[in-house]
Amino acid sequence: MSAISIKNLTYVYSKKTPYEKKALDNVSLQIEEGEFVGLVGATGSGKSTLIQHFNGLIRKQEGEVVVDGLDASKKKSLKNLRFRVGMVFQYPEYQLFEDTVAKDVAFGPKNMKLPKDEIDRRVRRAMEVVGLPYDEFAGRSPFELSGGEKRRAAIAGVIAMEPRILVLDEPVAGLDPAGRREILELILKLKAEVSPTVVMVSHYMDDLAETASRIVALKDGRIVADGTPEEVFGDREKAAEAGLDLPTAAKIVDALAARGISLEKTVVTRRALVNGLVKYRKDKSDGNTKAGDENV
Amino acid sequence: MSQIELSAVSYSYRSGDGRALRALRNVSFTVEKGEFVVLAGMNGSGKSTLAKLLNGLYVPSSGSVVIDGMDTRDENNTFEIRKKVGMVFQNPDNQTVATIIEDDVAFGPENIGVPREEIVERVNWALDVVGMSDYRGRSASKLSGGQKQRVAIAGVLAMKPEVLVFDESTSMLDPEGRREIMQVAEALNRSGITVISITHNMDEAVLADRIIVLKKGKIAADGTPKEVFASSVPEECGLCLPPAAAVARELGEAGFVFDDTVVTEEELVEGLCRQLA
Amino acid sequence: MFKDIAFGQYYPVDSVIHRLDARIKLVLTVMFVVAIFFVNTYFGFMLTAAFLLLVILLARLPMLSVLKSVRAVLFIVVFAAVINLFMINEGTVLWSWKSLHITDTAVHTTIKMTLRLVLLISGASLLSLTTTPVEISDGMESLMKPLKFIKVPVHDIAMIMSIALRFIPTLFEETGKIVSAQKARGASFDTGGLIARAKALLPVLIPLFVNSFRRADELAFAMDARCYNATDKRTKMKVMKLRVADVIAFFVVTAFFVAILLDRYYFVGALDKLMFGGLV
Repeated sequence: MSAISIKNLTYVYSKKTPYEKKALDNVSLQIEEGEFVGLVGATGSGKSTLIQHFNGLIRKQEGEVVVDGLDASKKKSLKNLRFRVGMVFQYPEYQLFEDTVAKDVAFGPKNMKLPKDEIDRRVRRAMEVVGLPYDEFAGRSPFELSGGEKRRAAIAGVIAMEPRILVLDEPVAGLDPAGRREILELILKLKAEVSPTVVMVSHYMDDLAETASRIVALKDGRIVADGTPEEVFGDREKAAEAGLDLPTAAKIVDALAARGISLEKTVVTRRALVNGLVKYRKDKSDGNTKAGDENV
Repeated sequence: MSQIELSAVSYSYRSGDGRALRALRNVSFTVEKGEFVVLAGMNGSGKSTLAKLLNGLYVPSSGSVVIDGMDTRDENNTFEIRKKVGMVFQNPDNQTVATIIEDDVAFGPENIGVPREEIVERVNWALDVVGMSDYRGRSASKLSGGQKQRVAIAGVLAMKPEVLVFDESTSMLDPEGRREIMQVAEALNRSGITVISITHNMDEAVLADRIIVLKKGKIAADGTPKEVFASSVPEECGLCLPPAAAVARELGEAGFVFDDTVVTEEELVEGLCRQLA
Repeated sequence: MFKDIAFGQYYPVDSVIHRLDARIKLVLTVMFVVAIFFVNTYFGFMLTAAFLLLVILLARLPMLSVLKSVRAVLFIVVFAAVINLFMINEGTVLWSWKSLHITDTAVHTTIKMTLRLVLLISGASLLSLTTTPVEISDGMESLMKPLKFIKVPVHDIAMIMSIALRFIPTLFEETGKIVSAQKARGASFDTGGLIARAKALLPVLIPLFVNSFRRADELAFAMDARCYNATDKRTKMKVMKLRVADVIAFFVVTAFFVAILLDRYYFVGALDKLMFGGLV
């Protein structure tokens, strides 16, 4: 059973009005448990519409959406679906509302109608895991936290439901570099400890190349690329057609190739680039030595 | 006389519980006409406070900010200074007042009593500079973030400023929007407008003539991108290196040697070619 | 998805009616509304309906778009009709059951009142279908100008209206986002009693308010940075100018108004008798 299985999904906004717009056009997508999917595409390509189908926030018009074995179009599976798919929206800190962090984090578990001690356990765990120690932060107002802390508190509110699938819509938008690194590390930690399947919408190709196990690209409501970062970015023509920016490492590979230094096109991370260059230098010096030997 | 002169500027404000917090301590620097300066630093380092001091939205608690000889503490100068120093803010949704794009661009000139015919000219010109002329009669709420920010820039340009301050104007945009704004900023700078850009994005920082790094309200570094990124200041101040500089640094650990500090991708490629070709 | 408030009910086609000056349209709408209250003959209603039809055709609006606005108030129309039908006791009784009577006067009054309401709403909706809220707000500011002499802060009121219009779509969008985010955490807004439902709204309202204050703060800075209140001699880019079509429209509606008055006070129902004979 796939974590998320979508077949022939089509969605049209403002049907039959002058403002009609097709947001999704016959999209099919299978996501298995344990994957880290990076969802990319320009603003308006249908990413938000797609992810909101995962937990039934948008009811499907045409096609099939099955998440964790639950049919998302069935009203009675809706509630369960919401708890199995944790969704962190853009700028989630703007949705904090309770007067203490602990209460805000408890909102989801309370809606799940869990017993009180289970709620407490989850709130503590969620706060610890996002790096807001319970004893220090539980009683503080979420509105007085720093920007990065607010975002982590909001993520804790989703994690406290202990969802099997975690969906994040541009989780690092608007953060400074240090904050961005912290959140990315946090997401990897959450994947390891809480939610084994992660779908992350991001515009940062460098981040995705480093973290995602698979890249799915949307354009005008269709899937235009799907594969590992190496496959998707490695196929330069297809990546360009899909309107994708390349990760920095891949751009440097191209610039080097233009100057006669050719590395594998599948080099998409900084680590791989450094390794590739080290190997290139070694091969070259080996070659030179060999050439030198022959001359003797 | 420099265009912008800050001497020993400190700024404190009262927090919710009444304590005085110092956002800036003893900051001094000058900016010459036509410079492209990036102000960098972590959230909370005082960057945005500094931006608001440049056009008199805030006045310093001590020290002085002087724009073209006009002190921001003198209220008679306030509107002259604001005409001269335009400011584009962070959130594309929170800085336009009118629904229709051309009406919003006209807001500034209307406020300072520019004659009608000239307002039309200025609006046409400003929308043209940012490439939004085709959208003039539309509603701003349907635009992308990058387009909204371009409209905001046009609204500021219509005041004919000599200095443009970008207060994290690209931080809420996608890469496409970011490129759009950076291109507009560079073009304006080439046409002689002084640009002061507050940003986290090091891709933008490498384009600047000069980077000023703030840390806890004090200046931690002030120099060319090369000077700043060669030092240990960026890490100490919670900034990351530009991607090419980060790669160069890792390559350095693996025994590669670069003659000069690598900041841009071109420099990295150039340096590698010299060693590998 | 929320339809842009900048265009509200606005039906985006290009027509003579769409291009009329918003001030003229406001004045003419008021004249039309007043005229309708003078109509009390079937001939008058026919004339009004014919006039509306002409405007709808000129405005290139689909009939359905006009009827939609009538549908919105259908309940009130039906309710008023039923009350009228049974409450008026003058005239010949046509039908009775226990204490309920329907008289011929009641039938006529009810029909006329219903026609009046439907025509009134259709006519008023033509304004919003052919004029954007921004144009309406600008038109109102311009019409209110004389009030400046009695110290009404016309410009500030207009600024407030303009900003409100500008931020409604933003706030709607934001509300949608917050609702989605809280739903994603299992909140439900449509279960439980009245108090439970009101309570369920708090997780939406609190962030909405907090964020609105933040927006207001940022907007204030942005307005100050663009020299708001720099001078009393504020200028305007858009100066409204009446054109020939506006003048013609004014005369057409005046002619309609005069016709209605003539029908009521000069012919006094004679035209009805001529057309409908004994029915009336």
